[in-house]
Amino acid sequence: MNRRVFMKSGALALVTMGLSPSFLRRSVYGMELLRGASTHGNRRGKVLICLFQRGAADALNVVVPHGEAAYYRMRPSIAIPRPVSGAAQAAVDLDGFFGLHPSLTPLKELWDRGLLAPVHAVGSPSNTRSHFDAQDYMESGTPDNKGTPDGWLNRYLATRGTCEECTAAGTRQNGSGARPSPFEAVAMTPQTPRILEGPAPVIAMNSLDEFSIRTNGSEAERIEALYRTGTTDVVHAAGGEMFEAMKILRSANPQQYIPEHSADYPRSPFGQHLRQIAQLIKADVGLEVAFADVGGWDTHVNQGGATGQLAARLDDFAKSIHALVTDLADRMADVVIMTMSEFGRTARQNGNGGTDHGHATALFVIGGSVHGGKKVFGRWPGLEQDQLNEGRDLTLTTDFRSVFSEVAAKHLGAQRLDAIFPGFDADRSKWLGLL
Amino acid sequence: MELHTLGVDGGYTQKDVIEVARALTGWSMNPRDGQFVFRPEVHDAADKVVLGHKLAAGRGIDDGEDVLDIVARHPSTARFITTKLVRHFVSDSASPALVRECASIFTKTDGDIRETVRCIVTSPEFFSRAAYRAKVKTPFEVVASALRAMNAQADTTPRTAQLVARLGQPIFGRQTPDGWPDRADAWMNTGAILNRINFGLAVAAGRVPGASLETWPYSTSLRGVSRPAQVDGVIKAILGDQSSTETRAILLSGENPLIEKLASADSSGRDTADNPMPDDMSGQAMRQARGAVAKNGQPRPNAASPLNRPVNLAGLAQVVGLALGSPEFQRR
Repeated sequence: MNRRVFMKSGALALVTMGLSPSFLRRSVYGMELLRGASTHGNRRGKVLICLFQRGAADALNVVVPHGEAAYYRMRPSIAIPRPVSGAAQAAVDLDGFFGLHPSLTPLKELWDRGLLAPVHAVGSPSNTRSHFDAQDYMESGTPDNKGTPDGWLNRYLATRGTCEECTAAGTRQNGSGARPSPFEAVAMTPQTPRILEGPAPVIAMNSLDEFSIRTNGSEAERIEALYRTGTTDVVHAAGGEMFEAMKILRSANPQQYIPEHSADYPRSPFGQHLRQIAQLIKADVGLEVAFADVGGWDTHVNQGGATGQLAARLDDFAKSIHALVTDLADRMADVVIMTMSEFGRTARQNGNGGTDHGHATALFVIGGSVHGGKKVFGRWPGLEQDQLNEGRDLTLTTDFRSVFSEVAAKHLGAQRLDAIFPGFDADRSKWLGLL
Repeated sequence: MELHTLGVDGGYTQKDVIEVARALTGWSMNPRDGQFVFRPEVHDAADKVVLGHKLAAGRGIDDGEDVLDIVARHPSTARFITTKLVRHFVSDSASPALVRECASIFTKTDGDIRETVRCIVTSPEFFSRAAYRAKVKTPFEVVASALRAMNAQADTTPRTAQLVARLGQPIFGRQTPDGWPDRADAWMNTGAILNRINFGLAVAAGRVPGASLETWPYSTSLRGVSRPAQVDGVIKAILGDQSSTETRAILLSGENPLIEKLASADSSGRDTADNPMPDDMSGQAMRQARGAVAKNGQPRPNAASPLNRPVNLAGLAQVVGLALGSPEFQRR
């Protein structure tokens, strides 16, 4: 028996070693999965990429209200100057009132192409100023309720396809009846993030390269056999799923990946994570929901203005997202990228050239089906003293769940918004019309 | 009250939360030596009502002291703490009857943890078949038990702690204030099991600080003996002498000529492991280790290194690596 024949009939060969028949069944089943994965290329399902800016990004210096006199009064040394044509150190004008931080110039191109929709004065109705609590609420989707065990993205995965009329309407792209891909939900994080915790299977990893048994020998085959003995407890089940996922990833061969259209991903962890999300999308492994996070936004001290600390974070943020959109090119028709941060920061700068924990924030929704490049979404509450939340922060006018539920429903076809955002009246008439 | 004593449905109200916070005003620390200090000038001296107990005005530090007693003696606290103990010592699905029984001991003994644990570990549930190896190890337990099984030298560098973090449980690094979960579903998923397997292989390859086949007491007697004798020795030393027949068969299959052909040329049956790597925090590993951030925006502790480079294992080292990566080793 030569090596090639052995590889093709590997399952049969292992049986000759006296392994249990259940292992054979599972192994053959794994091959069916492999074939199933290769047909995903025709599926072209919708993909949602959620990007979390952990630490509370300073929304007022991200999407800059340069038409507000109060903005400049409250931020004497960190405000982003009004747009001046040709000036690199000023806000990049969007609509005559709002502009982007100059480090977000790459996102201006997405705005010009009609792909980028900023949402301002959005966030959590909870008045917590704790990073932990606010991130928890944004990920669980249940502000002020810490008892929610799972994240809203996982609840989307767990409930989609459970409503018969939705299935009949064809909102599930996977109509062949094939088993869902183990790569439906991927987080580019060392652990499953709160937003993806829950009953639906999720893969969390730092990098695609790490997703293999790290040996030059034959231990991988033997360990796979150890986990495929037919036992169905939680340990064997996790192992079985892991080996199935590994097979699919191998067949997609992401190691050979070269970004297209001269997409230039920063070498930062965030840039590399987005690059790997693009790899998975283009490998057609069945990715539906992807997640990555990026830190460094908690700018209490010396946050800078047009240049400095926050500018450097935004530079990496914008270049990474721009590269992802460039790389995905016409696939952006089926992709929506949604950014989020747990809350905004105080309207006034503090005594340390920074800003403290605030309330409402801003986010971006980006995609081919997004009504981008037209306006900054969300009602602007103003920055005069009597317009501020608790006299110090941007007032909230849009509940983040309104944006999230609109994206989940219109982009992913989610029907069970009641289960995804329990306790929230997902009133479609209040949606912003982002998609 | 929510996370450490009464529990989320323990019967307190938002008003109680505010009253407890008022009672604890003035409780502070000396920034120089970290010692507790009560600062009466910032204490809210007005009267309070905590969980139905009246605290008269002007009692200063005694408010906080009384709050501790009130909370500790609350029946919900007995139930909450006993549930955690039962979950830890018996199984994830803590039996309500056992919790009730032992919570009454907790209350009767004024919170004596030894008596509460005695109640649990002498119960029929504790000795039941269903509770045997019912618990999945946390990442900390995986690393600690593997190093103990290898009779490893204690590591005085941060590298072992970084491995625990890599497996998903950075020590003292839980993001939420509730502490690390004590349930299998929190620890068992596709990515976690992969990291555990790679950790087992790295231990066998001598890449984890302090652990080496060279210093493993069993090496002397298991080197050079037949594969079946090695397998039985490893099952005894690492898996507590208990493994499924499938696991034993697969550990044995190292001798199978079909597998041998498939494996790379160096697996000739010699007991080899990689050269120990004194410090592996180099290029690629560091880049990957930097790939994550914690909730406050700071980098997460992470050490990608020893688990990333492929290992070369043969003979006894291979059996040890397979045993440490086996489903049996994930349970305690």
